[in-house]
Amino acid sequence: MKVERLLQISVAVLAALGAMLLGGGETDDAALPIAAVLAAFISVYVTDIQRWFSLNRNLANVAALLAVAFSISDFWPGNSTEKLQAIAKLLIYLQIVLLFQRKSTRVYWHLCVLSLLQVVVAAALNLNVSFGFMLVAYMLAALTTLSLFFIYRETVRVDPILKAEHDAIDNRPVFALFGSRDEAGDGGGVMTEAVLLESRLPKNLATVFSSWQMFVQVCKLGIVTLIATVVCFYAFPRPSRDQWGGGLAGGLRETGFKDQISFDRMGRILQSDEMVMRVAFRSPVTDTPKESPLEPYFRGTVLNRYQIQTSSWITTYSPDDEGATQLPAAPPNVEMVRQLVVLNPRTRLVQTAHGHLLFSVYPAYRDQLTSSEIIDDRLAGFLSFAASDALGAKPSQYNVLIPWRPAELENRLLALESRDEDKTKLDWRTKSYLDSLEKVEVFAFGELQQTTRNVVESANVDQKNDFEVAQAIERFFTDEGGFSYTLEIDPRVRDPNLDPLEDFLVNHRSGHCEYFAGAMALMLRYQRIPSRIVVGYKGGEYNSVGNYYAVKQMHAHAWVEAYIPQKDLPESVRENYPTGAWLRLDPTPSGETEVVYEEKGGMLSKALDWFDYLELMWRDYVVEMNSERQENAIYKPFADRIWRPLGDWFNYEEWRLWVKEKAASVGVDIEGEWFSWYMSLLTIFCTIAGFGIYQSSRWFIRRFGQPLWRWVRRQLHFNRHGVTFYLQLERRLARRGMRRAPGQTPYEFVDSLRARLTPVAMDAIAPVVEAYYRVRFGGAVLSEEALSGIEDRLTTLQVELDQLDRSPRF
Amino acid sequence: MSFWSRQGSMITREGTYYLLVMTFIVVGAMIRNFQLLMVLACMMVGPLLYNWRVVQGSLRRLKFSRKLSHSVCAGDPLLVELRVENSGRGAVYAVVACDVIEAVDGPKIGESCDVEVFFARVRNGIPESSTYRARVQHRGRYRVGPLETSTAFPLGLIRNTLKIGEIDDLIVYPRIGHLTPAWRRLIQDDRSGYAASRRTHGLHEGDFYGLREWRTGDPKQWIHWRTTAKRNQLVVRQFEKQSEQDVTIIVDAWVSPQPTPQEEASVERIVSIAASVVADLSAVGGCQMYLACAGAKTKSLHGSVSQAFVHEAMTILAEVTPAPHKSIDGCLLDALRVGRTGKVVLLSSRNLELSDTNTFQEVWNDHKVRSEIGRVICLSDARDELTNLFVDGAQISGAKESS
Repeated sequence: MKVERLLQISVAVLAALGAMLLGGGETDDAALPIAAVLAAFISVYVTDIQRWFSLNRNLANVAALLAVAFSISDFWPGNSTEKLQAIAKLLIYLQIVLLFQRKSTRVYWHLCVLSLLQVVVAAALNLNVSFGFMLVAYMLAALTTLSLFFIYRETVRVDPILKAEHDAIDNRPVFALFGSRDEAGDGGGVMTEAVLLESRLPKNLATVFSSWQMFVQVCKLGIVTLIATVVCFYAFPRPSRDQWGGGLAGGLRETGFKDQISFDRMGRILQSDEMVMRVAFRSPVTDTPKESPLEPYFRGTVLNRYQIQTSSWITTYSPDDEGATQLPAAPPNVEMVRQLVVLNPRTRLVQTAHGHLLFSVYPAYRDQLTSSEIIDDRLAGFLSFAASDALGAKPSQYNVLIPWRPAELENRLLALESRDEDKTKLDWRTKSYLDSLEKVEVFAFGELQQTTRNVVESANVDQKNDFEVAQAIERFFTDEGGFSYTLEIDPRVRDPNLDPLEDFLVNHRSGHCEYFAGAMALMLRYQRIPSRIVVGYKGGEYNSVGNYYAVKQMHAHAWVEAYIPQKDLPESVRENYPTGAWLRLDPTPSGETEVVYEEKGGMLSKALDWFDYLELMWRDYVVEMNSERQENAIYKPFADRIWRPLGDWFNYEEWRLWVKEKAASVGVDIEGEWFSWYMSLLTIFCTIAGFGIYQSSRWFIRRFGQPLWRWVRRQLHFNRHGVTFYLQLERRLARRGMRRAPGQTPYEFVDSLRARLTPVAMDAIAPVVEAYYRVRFGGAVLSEEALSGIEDRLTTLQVELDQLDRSPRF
Repeated sequence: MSFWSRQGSMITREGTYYLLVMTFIVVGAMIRNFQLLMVLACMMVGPLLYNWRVVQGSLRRLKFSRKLSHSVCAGDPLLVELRVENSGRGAVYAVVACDVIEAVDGPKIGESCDVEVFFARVRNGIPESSTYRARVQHRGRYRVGPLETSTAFPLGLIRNTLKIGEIDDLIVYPRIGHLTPAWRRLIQDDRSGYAASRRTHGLHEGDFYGLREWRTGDPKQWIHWRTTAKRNQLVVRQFEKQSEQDVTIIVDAWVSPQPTPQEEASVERIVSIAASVVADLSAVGGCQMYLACAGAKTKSLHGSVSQAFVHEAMTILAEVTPAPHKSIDGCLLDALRVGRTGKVVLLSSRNLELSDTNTFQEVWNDHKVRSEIGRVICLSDARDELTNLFVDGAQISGAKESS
């Protein structure tokens, strides 16, 4: 196959991959990338192979201008994401226009650059590990294309016929809409030139560059590229501690997690497979992973008021300064585990009065790894990440300690802490908060009230014991009431005259967790039990490879907390909760989340675990690589392993301090910002300097290496055997053109000189060679007298040789 | 000459653009803290390094040699073969060898042209060869080389260039034209033909040598009737040592200090005639010839026409450089002294008269030589005296190509 044909196919593949990378991102229109992929392959056949149709350059320019004008309308009013999407569309339009032009070097360059720009845009739109995989494929295609393009350029440059064909493409007449086979020039050149030179391409050109050796070359190139990518990526210092350039991609998609529940909006987001966070439980002592025997409840926000008018649960809680404090230290004698939460960078955190809302198993405690910026509102029961303003940086991950309570009841109870000095009595603030959680519309929900009374009466429990009543109501939902879990509520079964919650409880009895939680909270309030709804995530997909829970949007959940006074708590735990406790009640029957959780196991699940783990690694070590992580994960281990063993003679810290001081003396403050712009520049400078040193050393070794080595060997030879005198003899003879041939022994060499030297000279040489044999092979050590005698004979030889030079030649 | 004239590894234009794009992505990645852009930028480092490493080690083990004819006539095609051997371990791909031809002597000193030859792959131990075709339009001495080899494989981002100092000489002879019978009659010695033969060799004609056209004085029995009938022209048999056509040719390559194209063309025409005479005599052989060229330098050659003589004479003619010289007088004097037999033809590009005693002062003042002036035929292109004597080689090749 011709090189040009291979190039055309390769460029089409490159264009298609670029479009696919864009399509893998957050574009709202997947049809366009698909169209670009189709156009890429159609253009190869229609425009390049058959040449049925091709756009003239002028028409192509007009089409490109139209594409720009069309894209500007999308670009102008949108936010940053929409702007990026508009650019992505524009790139695809331009690419399609270029694909249907006859290919010249110019068009190939344009296509390559456009494709690269597509990847640049895709890098901002697509953060998944799939982008990484596709990037590797793109890299291989790009390397193949660049190699073929290079060969194409070289052949066009060398071969006059190809050059004439190529020039004809760029100089096609205006409005030659339908491509015709261009007449190639004869390549003969102008005969008027004084010297006419022309060469032809070798016949094996196509064979060579479509052979498997070329494939091997590209593979080698790919491997080198991958290694260089990894090394450069992790070695290059990051200037910022920020994790993500949030300006462009921070608000790509909201999680769907709201600080209120509306019963008209459900379903779609809950089914979403989008990752929210990854949660790992580890022992704080041994750092071994721990898998929870029960599905963990990751608490988000708390809703305390039901608005009848809007049919929604909302938060009307006003925190005070005293209620929100730093996380407390872990209580003694309670087994703790460390909960590490790694948020998806696209997860938008809800704003609270204290900062960004955090998800966590509750209650949470601090240890040395816990950020001091985590605020715990103990009264309402939620965690926040303190930020200076609403636009403050959100955390990418956080550590807290949580109690590890295998017993179910302990797991469900949350102590209510009193701010009063007497910790056995509730303070006024807590009381008023609890009072607000009892408030209901007395005249509303008549049928709901009636149902509640019926449930409690029929439950055969002590109606004065809130604990038993609450559990009875929970059982009503989960077991006895005939409720079913569904994400799709048929609008035909709904009674528009009733409140959605009352309608749910009385009529259709099918809904999702928010219906269950909302209805139960109301029922508890009608029983004078303070209750609230907690919204967060329940469980997740446990990844056995990375030992973490992958919490996705589909795991969003709502449940109920009811306040149980101490007297109503079971005796076994009553002493632990002097002011009562919040009892977690989950009225939702088993939904899809649990099914998903239980279906784990098998090859597919394992593969998914691996993929999910890769996604985590990708996110942690690529997408969110910042200076802090780079220092902790790359530089510090590297420094520990490399510098520490050399610490005796090269102290890394001292050197670092020295650099800091020197930098400060010239007005550059790098204190506390080791990985700053200055250091980036210093790194670049050091790289260039290192390269220069390498090149200089290489030149020096090439230039002087061999002579130096020869000299060293000679010196060693002298010293080792003490035969300097013989080498001097050889050197003096060599100056007169008498050199010992390789393989010739000294005796043979001396014999061969008889015809050329005088008898006096031969008599001088013979004892020197004898002495050489004795020293070199007999191990003899010459005395001073013997050496002196040899010196005299060498002098005699020198005189003879000099006379030889002065004698006339015929 | 290619624009990679510098030796060693250097970044190409495409490589520079590549570097700019990479820098743009790095800066974008750092400013916006986009780590995926940083991945992309780092991904662009590898190809650059790999390209640099490959080109660094590619050319070191290549050994180039050139094979070309030592001489060629102007306008004739010439094939130059480049051969390369690889003593390295692996194959080397996409090597471009740039060869240069530069005029170092002759009428177009300094003119040069280059050609690039592409070697797709040079394997270890297997020599590869490639040829290029050259057509040099002007006579002269040309220097072929030095050869400049380069490779930018596999991506064309970094190019390594190595100049190999192998230089060859190429003598481009003047264009050979066709001498008309009028020319032959003109230079016919009075003693030529049968009479001359008889005086030199008697009736022993010697061995049969070949055929030639009939000249005045040739005996009838020499006529080769069959060929005469074929050619419709009298053709006689030629015998060894039978014909001695000693001749002296003096080329007066004169141009004014500000030469016009016509003057240059005239010089080329007379040089071409002289070359044609040499080529013509080489076919006959056995005769003595004296050739003198007066131009920027004055050169002369005297001897029996043989292959070596022809080569020498053609080289002298190839290297004649037109100039406003004053050495024609001395040339003619030497020619008359040395070339004692045959006609003396003075080919001049200017309007030159033998009777001009100023120009030929030495000749007219030398009483021994003066008597020989009768042998001298002065032909001037400026007076258009060569039209009937000679058909230009360019016209012949033009006619051939058009047919």
